[in-house]
Amino acid sequence: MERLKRWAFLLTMAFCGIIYLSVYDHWSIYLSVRDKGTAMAEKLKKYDEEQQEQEEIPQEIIDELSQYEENAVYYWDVEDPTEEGEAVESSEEIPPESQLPPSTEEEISVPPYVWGSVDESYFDDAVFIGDSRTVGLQNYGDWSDQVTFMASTGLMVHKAMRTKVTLPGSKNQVTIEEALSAKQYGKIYIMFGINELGRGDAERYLLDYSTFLDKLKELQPNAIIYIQSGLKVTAKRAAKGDMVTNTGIEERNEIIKSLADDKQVFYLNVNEAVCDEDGNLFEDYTHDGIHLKAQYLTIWKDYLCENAVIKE
Amino acid sequence: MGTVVTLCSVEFLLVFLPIFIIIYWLAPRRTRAFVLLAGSLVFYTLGDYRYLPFLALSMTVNYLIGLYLGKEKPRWRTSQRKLFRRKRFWLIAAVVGNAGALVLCKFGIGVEEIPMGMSFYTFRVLTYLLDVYWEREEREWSFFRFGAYLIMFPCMTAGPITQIGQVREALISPRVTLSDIQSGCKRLCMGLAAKVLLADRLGILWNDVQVVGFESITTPYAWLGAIAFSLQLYFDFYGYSLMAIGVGQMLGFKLPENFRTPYMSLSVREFYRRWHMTLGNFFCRYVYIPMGGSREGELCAIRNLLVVWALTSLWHGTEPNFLIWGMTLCGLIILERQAERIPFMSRLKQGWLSIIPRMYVWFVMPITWICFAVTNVTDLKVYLGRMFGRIPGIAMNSLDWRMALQNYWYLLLIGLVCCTPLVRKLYHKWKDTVIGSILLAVLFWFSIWQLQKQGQNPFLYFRF
Repeated sequence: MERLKRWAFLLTMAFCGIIYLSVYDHWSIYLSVRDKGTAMAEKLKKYDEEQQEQEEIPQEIIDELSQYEENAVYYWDVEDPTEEGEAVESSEEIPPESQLPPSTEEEISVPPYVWGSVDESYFDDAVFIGDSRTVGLQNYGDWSDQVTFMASTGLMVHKAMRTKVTLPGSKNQVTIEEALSAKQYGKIYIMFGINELGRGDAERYLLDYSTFLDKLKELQPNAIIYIQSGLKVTAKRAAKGDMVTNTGIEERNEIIKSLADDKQVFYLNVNEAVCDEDGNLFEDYTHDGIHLKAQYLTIWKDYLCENAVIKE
Repeated sequence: MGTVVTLCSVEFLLVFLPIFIIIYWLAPRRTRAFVLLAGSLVFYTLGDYRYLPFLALSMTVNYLIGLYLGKEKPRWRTSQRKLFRRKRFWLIAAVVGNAGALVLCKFGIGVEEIPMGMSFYTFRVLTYLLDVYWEREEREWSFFRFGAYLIMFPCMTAGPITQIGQVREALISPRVTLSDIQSGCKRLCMGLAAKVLLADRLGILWNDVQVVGFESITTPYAWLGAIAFSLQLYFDFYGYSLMAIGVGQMLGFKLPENFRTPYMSLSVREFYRRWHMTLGNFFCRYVYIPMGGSREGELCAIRNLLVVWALTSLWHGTEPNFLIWGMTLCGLIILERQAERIPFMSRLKQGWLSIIPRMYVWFVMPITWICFAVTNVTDLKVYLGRMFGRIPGIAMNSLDWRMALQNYWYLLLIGLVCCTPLVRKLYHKWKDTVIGSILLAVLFWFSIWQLQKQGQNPFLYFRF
């Protein structure tokens, strides 16, 4: 007992550690170190052997290493185990784009639209949905009180409908779906595309985005929906070597263009207002390479004012 | 690749450290200096392997020069005077060489970025050489012990700057008891919690301010940002120092403290006697006092202070904002020195009147820390302008400070409370109790969880 008392603190640490590592981490820290080590050792061995024959890394290594990626559990995915199921199910429910019945749209008489410049009152029945970039636009865009924002940091398209937001004038939090069911809006501006870079590829993004759009059209059948291109990052930020790259953002922007039908859903390439000739966000416009500084958010707002769809 | 493994990374805490401690404990006492040196080299390699040859070269050269500087008897046919002159020559060569290398690296000549831990390494080398030359310390004959002193991994990246006398005994016969390991571990837990749970979180407030752009912050928000940065810097560095001391304790070393609740100081002079104490001690012992200190009159003292602060600024960085930071502080210290001659001033330090100097410190420190934090001088001017309302803001959100307070008030409150000696007293009172142990263990694993969230998923911590 005395001996146990002397080791008390270390035992407590070990005990808490075992619980933590088993329950939350699944010992991945040690497994990943072991895996990294063995993968590196094998890679070096094979590279040595095949150095003279080939200059590229053998396909087997790439396959082997990508195995770890496929089997790895990302914690931002595991939060809601039903998510995976939902996504799989919904892929069977959504008909491929080519099968969308164009004939039904021809039956409804669609009012003609025209692109033009508007003033701020245009946004009085608008709602903005998005991530922290939209939050920045909300806080520093100098909007009138009529404009609605449903934005939060870290918002992602696949769970946007379920995410809770606080609407102005009320202290309660409601999900975006509930908020959109409660009131009809004239225009809806959406921007995603950066938090999703760590969640699957562009096709996955398209799937999630079209599911979101379908729900949106169901709840707001008369609204003009603007899909804004995900804002790019600066060249410096893209070169950091993590998942945030302009290639990834561009890929996703290109793929969601197909969702615009130019009748109800329109694509706005906001990037052309804030990026340089190389397609990177201007370094001066941002501190962290991702978010526009407050004084440059007016460029985004002006772009929206100058590229609006007016119902005739 | 950069510093992938630091004292604060999960790989270090859960993999490297336990393995090293076990090896160190099992190793025979005589070999522990070697084990420490080897472990530190592994640690260095995992962080940044590119400069390993230079490190090895530097250690060898400095070791040999150190041996020469400690020479007391000249060789046959060499006079004492000649030995003295030669020793002085080698000292100057070594100081210029080491300091020069550091200056070159700081200015980016020959390297892209400063090799990991070089600033602290250089200061430890200079400490050793000067102490041996001035006969304050014996020269170190064992290369392993010398190497271990120079690059021991707890102190490598930002650790306390130690004198060889402070660690030599522990290097010669390292005694590691179970209670040392547990005490050190508890300190490690506190340091980790300070860094991960306080500093990193407060850093988000400061980051928010930077993301908005300094032209667009309201004055209250500017002050909140400055206070957040002041607290972040303190807990980051203090946490790191606690971790270094804790790990050192687990290895049998008693490393010097670096902070003594500096934000409780009553003057800027006192602040810098309680902030990063090992650095202040270095400049005092090896620059200020050898130059004459305060003994040769006030003007000399002022000159010496200017030199010390110019060097301190340069050590922190080569951009002009660091010079602005250093010279502002130097100016304030000089003014305080003169003010302290007024008899009334000593009354201000007692009782409830001491709130006045405390408010003065809390007014001045965030301003100087902003000078330290903002590298671009134009941006700095804008920030200071916004702090005092001298520059008009562009595209401001008048509610920004309220939103920040809503989100961060608890962190700021905890931070302010932790600046007082209260937490330290509670720690010493409770660390050996059952509740205290459980709390510390929980703090540790909670911090590990936070670190893993940040590291594995940049989108969970750095959510956009």
